[in-house]
Amino acid sequence: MRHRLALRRAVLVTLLVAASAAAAWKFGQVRLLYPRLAYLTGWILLGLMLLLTLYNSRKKLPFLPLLSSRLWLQAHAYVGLFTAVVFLLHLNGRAPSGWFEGVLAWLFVSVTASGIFGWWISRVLPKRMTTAGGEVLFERIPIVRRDLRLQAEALALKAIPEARATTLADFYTREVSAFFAEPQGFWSSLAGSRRRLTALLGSLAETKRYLTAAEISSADRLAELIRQKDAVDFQRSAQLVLKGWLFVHIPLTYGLLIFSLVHVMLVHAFAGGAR
Amino acid sequence: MSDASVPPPDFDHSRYERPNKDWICGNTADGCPCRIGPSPRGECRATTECKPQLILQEGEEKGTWKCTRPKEWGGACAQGPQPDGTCCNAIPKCRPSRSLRNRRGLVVRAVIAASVGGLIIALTGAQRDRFINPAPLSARHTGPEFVRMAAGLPGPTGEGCVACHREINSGVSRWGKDAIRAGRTSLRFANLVSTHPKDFSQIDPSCLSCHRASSFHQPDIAREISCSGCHLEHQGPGPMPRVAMERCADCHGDAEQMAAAAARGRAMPAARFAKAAMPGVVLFPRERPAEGFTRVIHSFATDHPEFRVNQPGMRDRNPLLFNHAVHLAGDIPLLNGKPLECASCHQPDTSGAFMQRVTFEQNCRACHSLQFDERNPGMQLPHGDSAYVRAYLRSLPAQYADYAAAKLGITGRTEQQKFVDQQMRSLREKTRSGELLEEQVFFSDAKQGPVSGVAGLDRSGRAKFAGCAYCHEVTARGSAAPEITPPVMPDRWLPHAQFNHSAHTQVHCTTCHAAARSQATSDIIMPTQQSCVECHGPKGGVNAGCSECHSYHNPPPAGWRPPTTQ
Repeated sequence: MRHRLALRRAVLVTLLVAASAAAAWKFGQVRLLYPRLAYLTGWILLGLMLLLTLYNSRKKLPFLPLLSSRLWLQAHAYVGLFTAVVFLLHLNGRAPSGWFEGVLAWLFVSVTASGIFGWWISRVLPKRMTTAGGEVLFERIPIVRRDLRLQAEALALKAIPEARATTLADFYTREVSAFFAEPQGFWSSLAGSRRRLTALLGSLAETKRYLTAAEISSADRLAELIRQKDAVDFQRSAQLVLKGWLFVHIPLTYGLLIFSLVHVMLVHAFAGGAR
Repeated sequence: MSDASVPPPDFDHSRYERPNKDWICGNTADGCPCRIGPSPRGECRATTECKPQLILQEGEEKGTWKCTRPKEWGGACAQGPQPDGTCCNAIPKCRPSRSLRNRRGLVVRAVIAASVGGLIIALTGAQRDRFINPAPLSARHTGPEFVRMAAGLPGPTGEGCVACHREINSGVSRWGKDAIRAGRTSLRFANLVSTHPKDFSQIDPSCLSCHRASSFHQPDIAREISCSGCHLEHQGPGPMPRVAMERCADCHGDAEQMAAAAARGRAMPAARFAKAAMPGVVLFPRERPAEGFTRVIHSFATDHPEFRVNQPGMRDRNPLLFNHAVHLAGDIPLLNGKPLECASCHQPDTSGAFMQRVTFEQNCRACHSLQFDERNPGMQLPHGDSAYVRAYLRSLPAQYADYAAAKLGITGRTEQQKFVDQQMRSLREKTRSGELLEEQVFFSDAKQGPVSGVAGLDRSGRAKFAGCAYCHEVTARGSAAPEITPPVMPDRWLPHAQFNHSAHTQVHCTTCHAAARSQATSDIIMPTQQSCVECHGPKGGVNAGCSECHSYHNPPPAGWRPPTTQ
């Protein structure tokens, strides 16, 4: 399976490079030959953009037997990169300087950049999420977090009658309860910072000296829950990023399409040898 | 992040999440969402944990209410339903929140609304022109005069766009119609992949309203082209970009169009192609080729023909006798302490583009004096008219008397007469008669004829007067003064092209003009096309565009009308 994916990726990369090189070569040949080449590259660009937006429609129609979603995603990514090449050819070495064209170009660049960012994190983060463990569906994370908190609270409470001491419960209240109460720092979790976890586990290890044998067993279990909570926090941050980039990519895509259609109207209405 | 391979936390797998729902229970953030969840419209539907079931045994009238809480929720509660059959565990109401997907949809709608709203405001507002202007205009179309002209037009002028885009004030709906029309006509798909799509567009009348005189190319043009086919605006401030070579090659590289142009040209009277020169400017005489200028040309370096002035049979018809090789040879005496060079005679005009016309007074007399009497350097023949020369020669005693008074300071009548007598006697000794002197002056060419020369070289080697025929074509006319054919030196050798000498100062004259080898006036020593290609070609890297030398626009003949928009 892995080999097949690598092969498919190699084929797609080769196709992308070949298509880009062929497009650039052909464009160089006919750049000065066809005075209205800008209109042609513009139509190709618009067609590619509409093709790319079809991926969103495909996601909404999962019941249709239109190839696998994975294949659509891959095609979306590679066609997107090729679209960026066509965009550069459409610009023909001239940076947009007007307000309207500036906004249009900014939208295109933003959509492309967010797409590339999304593609990159879609490749990087899932591997890290698998490595980190504690995988859980994003929608279930609050429930899991609550469950972990309840388990931790139960452990702390259970230790009081067992040890006839409140050392572990006090430690929980003082150091750990806030950790379980809510998600910890988004960016530090995403960056994989161990600072908070190490500090908590270090404090717990120090507290262990004052615990009875019965409490130590609970403390070990508590340490395990702390690790799980930390992993869940990472899962939450990573999945938020994996979902969050679409908050830029998809809305700006619609803005780009609207501006593109107006652009098509303007360049046709005020046509005058644009090149 | 914790250590690797932390096992996933336990989870109640009987739950089934639906991320595509628009609303989620408000208690989700606390980790305890209700089972039923919000309605599709985002209303909380929480009531109680179960709907108790009434169990009626045989013979019972009231029956017993039984808790129906599912096993996954903890099973039947210990307390059981209320006596009235309601569940005792009411689920607290919440305020449902939007799912991520729904929030993303909101952002999408907001961006769409912002885009549409922003565009409506921008396309209908006061800053419309500035907003849709793709790039600054060239300096030619932004000056105060241009804006003034635009201001004279009806409707708001904004940035002056209306001066060219007359339809800009018609509104977005009209733009849409125009766009559809353009897409069906001049911008239809076939035209996008064509080298000849330059049908007249709706902007051309605007161009021609000011540049009417620039709309003519040649009478035999096969197909009129749009101004905007070659000239691009909105390319930034400064001058408009030069017309690319390919735009000319669109037609001149197309055999079909050239054949059509040749056919049209053949059917037209030659007078239609007469090109008026600037007053006072002498053009190198040439005839229009039978087929006109319809040879297929793709670029200057590849298949541009040799300049017609250099084609076989072409001769400089100037009757003046001149030998460039002699004048550039090293044995010529110094002029003002410097060896003779091209610039000694050929000086650029005020524009620097062309050379001033060579004249005897400016460029020849310094070396070639008209001193016909070896003993009197001041006695100079007049130049320019043979009748004057003859009159001068026939009044020599008076000329000598004037010379004595003006140049030698001999004022006494007796001394003057003595001086005149001496000079005349000396002259007679040499030439024997006045008729012979006239013949020598007019017809001697220093090589053959009555004598080899009238005066010869002086001690410094300076050329003295050898006779008019030394340089000129002199024809006897009986008793009248001989006819000296006036020299005709062309000011423009390549009248279909422009040239700027000042742009070529890094190159020595003889690099392009083979003057050092030219011994006859009839030699054409203009640069060849190949010598130009040395620099203006792929090898030299200098711009080789057609507009470097040629201009598309020509003055139209009388009665010509510009083409109309399609």
